[in-house]
Amino acid sequence: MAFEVVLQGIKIRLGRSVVTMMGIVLGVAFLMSILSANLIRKGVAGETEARQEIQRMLGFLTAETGPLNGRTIAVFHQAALSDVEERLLIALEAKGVERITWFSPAGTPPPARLRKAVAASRLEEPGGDAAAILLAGDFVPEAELRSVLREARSKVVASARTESMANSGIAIVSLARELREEESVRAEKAARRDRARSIWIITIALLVTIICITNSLLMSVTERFKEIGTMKCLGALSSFIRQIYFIESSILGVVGSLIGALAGLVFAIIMYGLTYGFGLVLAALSPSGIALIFVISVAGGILSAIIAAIYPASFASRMVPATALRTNI
Amino acid sequence: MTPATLTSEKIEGLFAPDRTSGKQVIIRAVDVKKVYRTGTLETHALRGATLEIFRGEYLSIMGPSGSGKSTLFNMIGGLNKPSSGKVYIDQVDIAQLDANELAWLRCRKIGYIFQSYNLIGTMTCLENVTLPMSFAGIDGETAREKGVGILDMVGLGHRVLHKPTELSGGQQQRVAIARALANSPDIILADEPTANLDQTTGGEMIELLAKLRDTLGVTIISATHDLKMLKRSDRIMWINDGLIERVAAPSEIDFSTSDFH
Repeated sequence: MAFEVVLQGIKIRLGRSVVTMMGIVLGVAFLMSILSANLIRKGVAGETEARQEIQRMLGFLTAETGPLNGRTIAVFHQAALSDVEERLLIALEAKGVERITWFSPAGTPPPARLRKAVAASRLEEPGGDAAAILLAGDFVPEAELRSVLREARSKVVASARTESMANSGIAIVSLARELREEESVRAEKAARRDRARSIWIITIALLVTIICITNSLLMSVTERFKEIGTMKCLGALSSFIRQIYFIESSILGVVGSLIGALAGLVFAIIMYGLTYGFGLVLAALSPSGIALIFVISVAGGILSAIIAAIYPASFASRMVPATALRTNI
Repeated sequence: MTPATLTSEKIEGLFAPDRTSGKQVIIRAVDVKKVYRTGTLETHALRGATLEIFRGEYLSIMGPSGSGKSTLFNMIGGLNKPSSGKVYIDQVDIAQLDANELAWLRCRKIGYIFQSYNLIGTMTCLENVTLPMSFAGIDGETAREKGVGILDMVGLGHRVLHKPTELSGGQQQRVAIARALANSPDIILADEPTANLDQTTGGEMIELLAKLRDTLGVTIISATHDLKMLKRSDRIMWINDGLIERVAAPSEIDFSTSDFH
């Protein structure tokens, strides 16, 4: 019943409802654009770093092996393959590597993105005619593998990771770069500062949104003074009147938040796309990251709308029914 | 526009009137006082009103503005509580009721008719009539059936799905009367119901109310200055300066005096 009253009310006062909703749309769009901007910035920074990292690794590797064009690379893979490792292999293919011989004791097939990878069942002849043996994945080489690698005297053995390979007793060319401590401390500090600033801006945005909705709902209360008083005379409970405002606000909140979140995301993508290029920005945005901030923004918008309705709803419900008898309102 | 004829079975189907023989008191007010405080200023709107209203009576309340007429009217209607004294509506002391119980009382015991109709503009006539029924917890289908019946009774059976703005003033007031009857109340409270209507339509409205009183046995209390309405009522009550000045039947009153012009 209250729902029907609200729907009819919104329909009749469409103009004002749209204006109220615009407040929510703007607030949520702002929230969403800040969140997606953070996501994009972080993603772009990570992406740029990853690209530089891979270039550096390629440089290291070719410094040891000479030009890779037309040659073969052997990969010994165990445990999980990191994103950087996978992309390094892709970059190797792009460099003109003829073949990637893929050894995996667990039988894990090479990633589908590697077009020149050929799975080998055993690491018989160490690396065969490969220019280098690349250790992929995070693991400590076992005794058998260690002896195999030791036999491959002429071959370059390289790994993108250093931690677990350090004490294996084999000369492994480390492709990874060690992050200096002060560098990571500085990065952490910058991230903290960024987060504090975002929270501050988001709080202000949501407060402005809440005040805007409250104001507009209060206007709707005064506009409907006579209607509310009449309903109270007819036996409406205070809770019914409260319901009307909470439902109205929630409807505007849901619709406004969905529109706002979408608008904010598109806005952020366009703004950063124009600066960094759309390819990089879209690569930096992970679907799960977008889903998370989308849910946060929409929930934030709906919550703000409900909070904003508290005062107008109680104000309307406390109204004296005799008001309806006064005709000059 | 003439009021539709009322058939007895139609009424029996809609209402279960409580026809008790003899004069039964439905509203009793004992030494009711009401003080409004604005800052340090105290306004004594009512200074000790005592009255009895009988079931099935047609009572008119008169009084100049500021006389306390509206205050008394609101208290009888369960819209306001007295500062001191007691108001009993159907033997219930309204001062003992909380907000929800007052809402229950307004919903089932009292029907309100307003000077400016106060129909909900976004709803159709039928929805306006079924609204109080939904507050009383009556399901939609039953409410619609009953609502159509009542609208038919007040002569608007052909306009159930119109919006109030599409109707004339008299028709709107008929919808308001139908709405007041929605939950078969014992009392109908009418605040200057003919003030916004022309002579003819106002007269029709008075006849409709009188007819409802006769057929349904509802008590009708109206604040009015309409001469036709005063003449049609059983008793007339004068309020002046917060006190009940006089109560008299129309036959005892000389309507030619300056009080009525």
